Amino acid sequence: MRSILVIDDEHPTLVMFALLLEALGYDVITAADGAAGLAAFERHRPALVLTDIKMPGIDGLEVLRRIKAQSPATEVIVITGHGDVDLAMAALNLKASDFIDKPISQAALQTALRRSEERIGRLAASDNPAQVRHTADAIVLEITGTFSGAFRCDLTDAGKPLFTHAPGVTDKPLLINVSECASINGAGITSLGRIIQEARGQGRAVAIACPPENFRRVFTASGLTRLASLHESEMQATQALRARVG
Amino acid sequence: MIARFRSLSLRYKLFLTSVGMVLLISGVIALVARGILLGTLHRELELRGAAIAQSIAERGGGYVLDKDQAGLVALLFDAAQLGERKALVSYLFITNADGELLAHTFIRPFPGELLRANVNPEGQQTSARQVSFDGQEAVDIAVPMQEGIYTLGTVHVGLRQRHIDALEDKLRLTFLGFISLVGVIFFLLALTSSGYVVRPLLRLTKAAESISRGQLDQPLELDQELSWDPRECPAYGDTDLPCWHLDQLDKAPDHTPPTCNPCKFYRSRSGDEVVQLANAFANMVWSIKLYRNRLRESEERYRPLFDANPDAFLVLRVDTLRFLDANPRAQELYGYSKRELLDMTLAGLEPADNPTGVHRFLQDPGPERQVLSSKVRHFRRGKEPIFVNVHACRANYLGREVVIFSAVDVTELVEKDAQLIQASKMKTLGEMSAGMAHELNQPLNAIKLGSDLLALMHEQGQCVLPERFSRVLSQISAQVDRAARIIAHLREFGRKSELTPDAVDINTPIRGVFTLIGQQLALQNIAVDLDLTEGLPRVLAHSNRLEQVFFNLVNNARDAIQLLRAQRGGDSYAEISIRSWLEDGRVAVSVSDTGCGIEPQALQKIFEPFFTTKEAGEGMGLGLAISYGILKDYDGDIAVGSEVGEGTTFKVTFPAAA
Repeated sequence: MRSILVIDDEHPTLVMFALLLEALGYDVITAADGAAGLAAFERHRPALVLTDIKMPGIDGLEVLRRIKAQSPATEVIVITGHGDVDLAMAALNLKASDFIDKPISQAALQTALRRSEERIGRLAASDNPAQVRHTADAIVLEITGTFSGAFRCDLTDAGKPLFTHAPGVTDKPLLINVSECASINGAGITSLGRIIQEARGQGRAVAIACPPENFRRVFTASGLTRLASLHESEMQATQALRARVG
Repeated sequence: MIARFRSLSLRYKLFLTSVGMVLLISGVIALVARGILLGTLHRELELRGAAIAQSIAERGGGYVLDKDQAGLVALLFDAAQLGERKALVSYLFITNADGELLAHTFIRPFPGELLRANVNPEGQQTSARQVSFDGQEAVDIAVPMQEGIYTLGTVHVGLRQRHIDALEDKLRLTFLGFISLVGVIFFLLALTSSGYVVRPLLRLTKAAESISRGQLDQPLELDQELSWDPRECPAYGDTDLPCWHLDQLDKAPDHTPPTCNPCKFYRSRSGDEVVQLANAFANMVWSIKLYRNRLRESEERYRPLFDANPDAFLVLRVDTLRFLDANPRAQELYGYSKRELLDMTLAGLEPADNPTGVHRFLQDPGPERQVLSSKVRHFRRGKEPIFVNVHACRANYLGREVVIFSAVDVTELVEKDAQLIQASKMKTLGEMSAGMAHELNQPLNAIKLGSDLLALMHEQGQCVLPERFSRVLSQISAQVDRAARIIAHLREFGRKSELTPDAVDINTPIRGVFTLIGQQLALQNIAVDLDLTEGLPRVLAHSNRLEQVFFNLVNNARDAIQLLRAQRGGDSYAEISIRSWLEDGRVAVSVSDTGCGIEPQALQKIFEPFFTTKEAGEGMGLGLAISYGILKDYDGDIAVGSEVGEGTTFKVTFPAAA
């Protein structure tokens, strides 16, 4: 049974969290503020942390920063006020794995937890968050892990043959496929933006397939949707690209 | 008789008195004079008769001694016929010493009774006696005829009584004529003099009567030089100018205006008492004229001020609370005609339980004779409420104790104020929205988690432990209540206030502020210290407006704290503390912060509209100005103390509601 630390200053929310997460099969540790949360983290070292951002005293972002400093591998999911993308971006920049809007729906919570679980599993197998593959219709950039600025060079290296050393496929469109359990932070968004700009500069059509709803919002808020069309699945994106090329 | 005399006019009294006096004096004089005159006449005639007799006696002695009878007769006839004696002398005769007849002038037989009718007594010179003979009346005067010591005889002279009577008649007639003439002259004199006294009196009487009928402008014909032109009097036309005479001013020569020296109207004339009386009367009439003119001018001057005043004016009797007068504006404002207003009492216009206004002034006038109460609720026709500023003062009006009050309609102003406050409240609501969203999100979040949990259990077909199930349900219910409370509070805050205030526990709006933004302050790491005294007297106010005021103060405090943090960097400890307590019978609330403080020069201006220290576009600078306006409406007061870099304290006080 995996243990999870939940930090929230709202007692009723904390109670509900505990009940729900227990029902989902977690061993739940609760903390009512940031300081207590950090202390509990020290004590229990859970692999998963759920924290509210807005808290008196040490807030969620500070908790995130300190935990990531201590233990970068720990998955930290932040809880933000509804539609507060700026705060979500700030958290992602601090290497938060994911974010959930308030009021928290059970589905969103379960998705976030599942993706975290997958990332934890993947981290053990491979640390490459992005691969490139070529299909009949497009060059596909698969993002599967936690995609951030730290992987920028790798990606650029991967991107170069993608666009320059494959003359036969120069007119192939680019499809960025964000997998279910991927996580993208601010640096990752910036790199993606650069790649899309480059692809468009070469006359390629670009589409993004992103099943997680919350990251679609991040793409929209960051302005990437002005450069590329955004779709819920790879199939829809491929169809859209075909229609455009055709 | 005397009563009848008294009822006569003065003229007749004077006339009758003087005429009576003249007649009385004339009568007395006539009686006395007649006695003297007639006596003298009789004596004179007797002396004349005696003289005739003596002359005969002297001359006739020789004839008697000679016994010459013829000579005697001739002597007698001569004497009798001499001159005018003929008319006077009736007869002459001489007797001898023995009484025998010697000669006489009768041409008829001698009436023998004459011989013994008048016998001269012994030793007496003359004797006169009334005699009558042959049906004639005469006065017989006997004088003795003497020769040495012998008496030769007696000469008798008969004076004709008829002649004497004629003389007497003539004398009496002359005398009566004279007396009558004097009487007539006196009569005329009395008539004239009584007229002289009475005529001015009559004129004065007439004048007084016409004055009493209000006719002051008819000329007073007291004397010719008295011709009034009121325009010549400087005090007549200009009622602001005092009259030295009428107002009894000190008549210092350097103060007297040249036009009044001498006064053309108040004069003293030389003359008898009647002239003096007329003069005093003329002065009195002028005084009345001047006074009445001044009174009328003053009435004419103030009546238009009352009638044309743009403010409503009402005159209220203190004892009956009924109206005595109302100007046209008052009739227009309250929607009643003057007649209707005069039939009404104060209660028809002003509710008796008003905390301010005319009723209050009547019950508790205070040290001032006049008072101003603002935004007093009155009723127009049809119980339509209006707000007026009332200015009331006590006065005397037509001899009654009254309160005169003006009412200025400020309904529109009050409504505009309410709109402004409402608009600023809406702005405040906007400022609150972030905090409110947070406050609302918390219960919604808990509810969502709870319901999802139940749904999950349901989907998975798991059996929920009853203890957990009830915990989830009670939490959901509690959170729904919490959200409902926030929304209800929000609605209460946003609601447009009634125009009349309620009795409010001051702690309620203070707590209300933190219902909406308490969590937000906590998230900004601002500690809130509430030190509220329970059981404070209530204050007359609108709870949501007070909440707006306190929200403004707390919001400013938070901004000040954030500003100080931005200046110093970091997230230093900050606190907003609110106290409520009772101070000198007033309810006091202080809001203190540990923010950046206010510059001394800005401190004086912070309650001014549109004054702001915030960046352009961040604040209108109306928050404190509107708060100030709201507090003033409740007779509240606000004071501020601040130290730059240390913090600011606002202190608000209210009168405790009775």
